[in-house]
Amino acid sequence: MKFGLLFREVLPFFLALAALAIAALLIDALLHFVDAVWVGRYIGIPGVLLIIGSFGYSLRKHKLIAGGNPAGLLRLHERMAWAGSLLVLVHAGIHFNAILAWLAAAAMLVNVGSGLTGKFLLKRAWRRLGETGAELKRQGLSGPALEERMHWDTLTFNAVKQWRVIHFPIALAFAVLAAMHIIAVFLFWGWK
Amino acid sequence: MTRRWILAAISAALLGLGVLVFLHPDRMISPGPLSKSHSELATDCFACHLPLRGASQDKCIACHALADIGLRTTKGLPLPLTSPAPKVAFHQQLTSHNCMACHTGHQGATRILGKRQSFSHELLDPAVQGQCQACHAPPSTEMSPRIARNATA
Repeated sequence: MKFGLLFREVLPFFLALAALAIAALLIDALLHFVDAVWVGRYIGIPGVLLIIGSFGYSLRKHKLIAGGNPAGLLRLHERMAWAGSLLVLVHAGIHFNAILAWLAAAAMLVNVGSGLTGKFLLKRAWRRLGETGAELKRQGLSGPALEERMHWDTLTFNAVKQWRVIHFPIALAFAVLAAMHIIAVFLFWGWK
Repeated sequence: MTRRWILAAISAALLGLGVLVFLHPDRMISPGPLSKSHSELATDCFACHLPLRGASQDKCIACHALADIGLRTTKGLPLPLTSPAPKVAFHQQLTSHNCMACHTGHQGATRILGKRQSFSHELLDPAVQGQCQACHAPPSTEMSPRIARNATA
């Protein structure tokens, strides 16, 4: 049972984070190998565009846009945010002095960690709710009796949903720090 | 209520960081410390940068008058001789005046600047091109006097 939890819940979480770090290190090593470290300066741009694109799900979730299947947008959000974070992480590897840029990169990693936590928490809560409901129905419960027995599981699920209360400010902090870094670059860099 | 407090705390932290950016741009946004001779400009980014256009050679020349480079300091004092033979002041005869092609104000910034235009002797005035020893120490081999004679011939 304990091993089941480890392989089903904990390991995928750490593997997703480790895959991000390993992929960033591999790309960084490749850029060094082909003497193209300067590419890292520009690779942050597609990274930011991917992350901005991933906000489509957030807009849908907050009913700011009407189109799009939420489940599909959530998968797109996860994949685009992961890929964008990877490119920004490679880009962050070439900064070695500016504190603001490091803070933006740190906020991004906290954001990725928070996103993966939410993903696995919600997945687990959905499965637990479904399994409990199916088991109680098999036992012949229905109507108010079923609702009463499901009460605590529903509360657990709602509590997990409250995780979004934390995820949003983390994403906001990242967005502001990244915007400050981008504005500073546009203000002082010579794009020629 | 909790959400409101979290947002307030994060907003206050971000505001604090924003203030630090203006007070200490050298630590918050600079890609590297300035060279020792420019260290007094560390918090005055616009002394060298133009908004949205990067470091400007016009700003360089405003302090480092082209006629004085290699001869006098920015305060107009003659440069002390570092060797018995004075070095050739070649900046005045360069065919291209692009300071950032060879110089960078921020130490270590070359990692993100990529491959820079290396110094090309073709940019020098032909009269200066032959005076190798004006800039380079002659090698201590038997052939070096002959090379020097050929260069100046």
